[in-house]
Amino acid sequence: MDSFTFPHFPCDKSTAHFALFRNVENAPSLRQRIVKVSTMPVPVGDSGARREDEVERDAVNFAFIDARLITSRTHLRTAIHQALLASVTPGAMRTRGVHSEILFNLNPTNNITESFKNFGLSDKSTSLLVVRIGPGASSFPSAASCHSAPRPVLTHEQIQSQVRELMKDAVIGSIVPLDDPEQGLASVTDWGAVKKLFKLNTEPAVKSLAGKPEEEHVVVDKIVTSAVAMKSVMQ
Amino acid sequence: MTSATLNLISSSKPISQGAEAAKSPPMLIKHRFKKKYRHESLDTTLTKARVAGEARLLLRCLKSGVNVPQILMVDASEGVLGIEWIEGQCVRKLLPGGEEPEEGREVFEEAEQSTLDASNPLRAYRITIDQLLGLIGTELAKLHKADIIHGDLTTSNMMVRHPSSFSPSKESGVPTELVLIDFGLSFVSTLVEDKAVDLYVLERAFASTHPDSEPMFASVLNAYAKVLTTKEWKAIKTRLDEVRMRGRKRSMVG
Repeated sequence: MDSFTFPHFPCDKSTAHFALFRNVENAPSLRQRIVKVSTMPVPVGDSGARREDEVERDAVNFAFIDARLITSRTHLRTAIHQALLASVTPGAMRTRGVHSEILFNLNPTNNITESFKNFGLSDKSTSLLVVRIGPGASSFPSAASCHSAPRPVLTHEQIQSQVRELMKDAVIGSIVPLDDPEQGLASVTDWGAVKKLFKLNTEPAVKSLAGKPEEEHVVVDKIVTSAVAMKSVMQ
Repeated sequence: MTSATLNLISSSKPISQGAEAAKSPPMLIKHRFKKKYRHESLDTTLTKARVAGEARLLLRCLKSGVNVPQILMVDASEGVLGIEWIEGQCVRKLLPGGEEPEEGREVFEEAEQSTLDASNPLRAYRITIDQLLGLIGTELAKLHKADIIHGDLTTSNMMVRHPSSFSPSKESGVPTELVLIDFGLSFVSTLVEDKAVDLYVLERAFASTHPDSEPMFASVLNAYAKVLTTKEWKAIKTRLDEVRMRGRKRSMVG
């Protein structure tokens, strides 16, 4: 279990908790749950929502990212940061929620369905990065608009373990540290698939490094991360 | 000051690597702040277009194999571009003559620096002047091969990565790399004229900041020519000679 903190965002979204799940066994049923939740009627007012619906919505309220297409910690961090940025900029969101915005930002094109298909959960997924945007323990002083909210004060660790339990309830698999050299992201990334998706095989930067995988991965990671960062101003 | 990006800026140190949490790569924030003298909607449109343009050019460079900083964040509505922090020094300060301070305030710091680095600031980067000039030429050739015109080539807009933050490839034998920065005035063009003017601007920058610049610029061109085909180089060389005769601007007569 790991987190990025972004103290410059409003405190209800200043933290991104994430975990890398491997050997995921319940991808098909998880996907069905998400589809079901997303087609549930949107509650109108206070009385509209049924309690069970809300609980179910919260239980799968994560970004599920296919970890094979994530090239580095910075890549993931950039996608989350740009999604948060869109969520606080009026009119900048391209999808309905901040979690789906992460998936959208990761995709090279502006097609939302395609971005879910490429980066989202599929029935065959076995390695997933699960992300939950949430409140941080400490917030930026000048951005503290929700300090008065009657929220019980929890430490970062307490929030983290709560989120971890929620994630473990949703996903059947084993959590591995992202930076683990043998089990972590480095062993999951499918560089061929990344290059194909971003059409990098014909680019001079990548072509000139054919046969030198280590250097090539550095370059591909740079390009892909930059592409995510500049998604909002892509032509 | 309610926007998240502005919070980030106010918590950063100017020209420093503050604000970012541990483990995340340090970031340089380039902020095109609001110009109060311009109409607000014009200002927003211009700023957005410039941030977007610079980001697109950087990505094009990355894809073409030109060494530039990677992009880490873009907030076009606030005029903010976040790029990778390059640990190193700009070329101006590494070549003879470039150390001279531009403002009086800097004199003291610079004096200290030069005693620390002994006589040659390049020693810390483990390359010779000739190698450095070669790197410049090669990088510019890659840039122009990708039809990107930098538009503001000076020795201040090139950085040398410090060897401690660079893992060299086995063959090249050079312990560092040259990184081009500041693509604020860049554009895409296939014209020989634009490439020649780009080189001419750099030649003038060399001449005005570094004493005895002629042989230095000649070795830059030498390395530049090696990357291009003979035909490409011939066209640019001829045009560069023309530009030298008439200056950067094309004559408006006739």
